[in-house]
Amino acid sequence: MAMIEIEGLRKEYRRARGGRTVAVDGLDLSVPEGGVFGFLGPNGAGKTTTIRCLLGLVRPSSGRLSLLGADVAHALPSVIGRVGSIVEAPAMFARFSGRRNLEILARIHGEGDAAIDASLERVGLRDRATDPVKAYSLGMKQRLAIAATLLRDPSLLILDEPANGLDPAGIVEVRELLRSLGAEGRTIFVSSHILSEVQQTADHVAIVAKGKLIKAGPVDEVLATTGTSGVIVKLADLEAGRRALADANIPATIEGGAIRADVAPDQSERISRTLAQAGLYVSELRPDTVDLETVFLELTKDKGVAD
Amino acid sequence: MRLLRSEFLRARSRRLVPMVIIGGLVGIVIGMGIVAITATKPSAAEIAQAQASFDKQVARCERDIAASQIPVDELPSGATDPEAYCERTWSPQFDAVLLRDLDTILQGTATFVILLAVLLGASLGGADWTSNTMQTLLTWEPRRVRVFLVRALVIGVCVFVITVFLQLVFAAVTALVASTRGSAGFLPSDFWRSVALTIGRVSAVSTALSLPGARTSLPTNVTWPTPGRAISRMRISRPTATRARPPSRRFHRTATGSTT
Repeated sequence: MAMIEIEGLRKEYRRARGGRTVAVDGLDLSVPEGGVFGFLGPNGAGKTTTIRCLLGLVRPSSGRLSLLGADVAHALPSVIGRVGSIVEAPAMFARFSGRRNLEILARIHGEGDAAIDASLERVGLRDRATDPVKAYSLGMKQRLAIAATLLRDPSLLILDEPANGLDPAGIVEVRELLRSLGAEGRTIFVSSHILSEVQQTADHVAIVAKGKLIKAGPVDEVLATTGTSGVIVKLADLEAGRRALADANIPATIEGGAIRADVAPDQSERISRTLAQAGLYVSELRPDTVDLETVFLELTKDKGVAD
Repeated sequence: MRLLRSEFLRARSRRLVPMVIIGGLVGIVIGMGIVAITATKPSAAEIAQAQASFDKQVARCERDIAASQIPVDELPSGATDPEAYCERTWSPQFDAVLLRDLDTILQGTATFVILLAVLLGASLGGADWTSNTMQTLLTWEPRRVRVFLVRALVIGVCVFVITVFLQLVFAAVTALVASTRGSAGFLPSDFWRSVALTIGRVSAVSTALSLPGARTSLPTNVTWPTPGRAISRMRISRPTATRARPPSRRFHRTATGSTT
């Protein structure tokens, strides 16, 4: 069963001075069960609007959405207890303690102190639970918001830009947390405009731009769409190395003080053996992988939706 | 029920709630403390003389009513008989802190009580919008009609309980000051019933106006200007608070002390 199913989602907003803005334009998406699903796109791509539609916070102009198999328009309350979510920045009462903020939410679904303690423990905030939220760092607020989503032990987590505004340490904290939550069998649907960040966490991704789906699938599959991966080789005699590789039918060019072999990274062993047989020893051998940013720019250029 | 418990916990956790209660209590203690210090306790002779004069006036009032043959059911509501009406209409002729004035004082302080209620309503209703947690709440309970109804109920209950509590404390402190530094006598027979009705009316109007207060805070997401906006509307709220009460001067006193 798909955890999230979106068919033909369209959302238009009326402008204050007339006219309409199309935030999401015919989006189709299916999120499989388990793991981390990255929902990627630049600012203004329609990610948050899509999440708001999924959670019933705004009504779509057209299209069908389902969460955990339940139609969002009619049966959202029946499944919302199994969905944890953060939309945009984590919003908490600043003067209340972290624990009090969680208590207020936990009461709604009848969760007790045990669930609150477990959630705080899970995100590493138990020691600071009685401090007012205004004394928390942004990373701690983000972790507290994630703790709130964990109160109901959800099978689906929807997180909107969880790494937004965090310092590098905070980003690593959130990344590790998402990985571990995904490893527990939960489905984590995480939106972000930081494509490189999600690439390190997600199993599947969907790339959107200007409200349209550009590409979706497993990360490796999406990365492979550009076909620009290769292997970077450094050694003392670059020209001799290039010739040796060419003799072994490995296409290669010299770029920026290194050889770039146009083969898949899993051919590294063959490259190393070929050069060694020619009496050339490598000082560095690494895959020249494409990242999601490159893929995104190429895909949006192809589809004519890049800004 | 769970949502109700959550909303009560949220309301209880708001800093403004204890601030209003403690501020109200401090105001009552300071205000009545000043009254107690500046008041002069009348002597037993003065009280006895005032009592005699008061009894005479009440008796004459009752005679006048009997003579004019006004039916009992045409007496102002709240006065169940001519005696109660006359006891309430006539005041003892001496200057002291009198418990019998409590009802009038409660009506006079109604404006402040209502303003506090509007402030409370604005704070409890607008807090989620100010802190942007309404979105979080709606992702926990997407049935927003239910959320808003429960919130309105909680605001109403909180405001009613707090305003009743503060007025009861005020009544108790006034009774204490009157009995120690003035007089707790000269009470009409329906005095406590009348006080209870006034407290109930003021609290009911406060509760009713706290909900528009909660609503008023929403457009700007700011709590504090709300009482200012409410003050501009208070011209209707003060009469509303006392509208249910009949005019206490249904019969006009003449210069000679008789009633017409």
